[in-house]
Amino acid sequence: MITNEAPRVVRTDEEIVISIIQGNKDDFGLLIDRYEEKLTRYVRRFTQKTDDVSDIVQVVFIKAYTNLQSFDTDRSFNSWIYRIAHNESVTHLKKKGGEKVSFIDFDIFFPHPFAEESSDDKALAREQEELLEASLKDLSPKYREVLVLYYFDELSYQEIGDVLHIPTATVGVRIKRGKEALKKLLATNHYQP
Amino acid sequence: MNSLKTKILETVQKNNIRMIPKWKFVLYSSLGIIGTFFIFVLAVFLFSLTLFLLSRYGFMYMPFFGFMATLRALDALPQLLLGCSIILLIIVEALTRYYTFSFKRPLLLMLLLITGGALVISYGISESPIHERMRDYARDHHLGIVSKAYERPRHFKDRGNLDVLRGEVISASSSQIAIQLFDGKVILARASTTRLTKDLPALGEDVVFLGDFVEDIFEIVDIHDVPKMFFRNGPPHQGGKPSMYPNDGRKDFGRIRNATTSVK
Repeated sequence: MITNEAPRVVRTDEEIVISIIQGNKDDFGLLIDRYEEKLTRYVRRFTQKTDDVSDIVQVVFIKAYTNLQSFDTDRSFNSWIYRIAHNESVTHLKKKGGEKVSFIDFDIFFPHPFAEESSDDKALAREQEELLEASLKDLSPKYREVLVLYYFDELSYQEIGDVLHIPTATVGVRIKRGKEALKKLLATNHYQP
Repeated sequence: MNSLKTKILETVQKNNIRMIPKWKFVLYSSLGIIGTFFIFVLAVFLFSLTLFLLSRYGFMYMPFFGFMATLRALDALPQLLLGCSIILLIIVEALTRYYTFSFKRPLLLMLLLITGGALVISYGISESPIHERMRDYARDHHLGIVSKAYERPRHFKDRGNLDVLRGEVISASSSQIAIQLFDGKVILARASTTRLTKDLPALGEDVVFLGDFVEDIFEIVDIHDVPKMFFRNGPPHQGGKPSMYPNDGRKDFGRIRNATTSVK
């Protein structure tokens, strides 16, 4: 069937941001629709908490709104809002004091050769999602976060580097070490693939 | 509409939360960049002052006299200046990590770039006439603290018997020479061995001496020429002539007899 209706153009996040800055405050709801679920999952997995997750996500959106004019629309909004969520999660972890979040990280000190994972590796991990999720709590936040961003939120190395403020090659190193730590955990728990 | 979205949108509509205007971000980042730049300049200035003092008073050339003399040179390091400049460079590194161009590179590379850059610029400044002019200005205008900064770095005599002097020979006889130091002080010196007597430098030469004070006279153990380096003989606009030593000592030979040895 042929209609005269023009196809609905899906606006990008960056276009929505421009619209909000121009005064269309309601458009912020579109961003909440797009990111609420993603950020809730990310914060829950990273902090390994269930109680305060919605509070953290609320703070993330409020901070995103107040600082919206600092966002450079030539860059990725996805990485920008994840960066706010990362900062809030780290603040929360430090405040609660349950887990150690180190300030000094030698991974970012030295240059590393760049080696991106193959898509097969990613697909394999997806099959084992439940298992991976169950083991996350035993990993240190440094490796847990990078695995969550890569396997669950499907961010690229570049985007993860932007979120965590670390070089792209370091992202690869952390994913590799995170996987190795995870394998050790699974072996300890007598899991056979 | 879900509860979180409703809550946030209501707050936004009622103007309970407002967007921070763009000019504030521009102002903050400009202040950040200017602040980082000034801290870097301060670190470079302190670094260059350290190199300048070590070079002009001869401590930088101690490695020419062997390992023990090099260890002695470590005593003479103006540790406060060096410590401050290193701390300031670390602050600069930490501040620049907020900018995208910086965190995308490994920390080690950024540290090397910033420290290496600061060292190269500092060396250039230490060999240019800037510090000499500042020293002269501070002396002429009686700026006590600044003048003090340009004095010979303190050293710890009790740790060894070796001392170093860098200066220009302003008077020479067969057994003794008079050396004018960078700060204008004049020191009488003599060779500790007959062999060295033959090697005593000629008038006008800029030389580093290793030795020790015996009463008011400096007994020379070893002598080394100051290596020719960038600007050592003065910048090109001064015709390449030595500019670092004050002229008054050369005119007043009478002062040699009453030479002070306050560098001890």
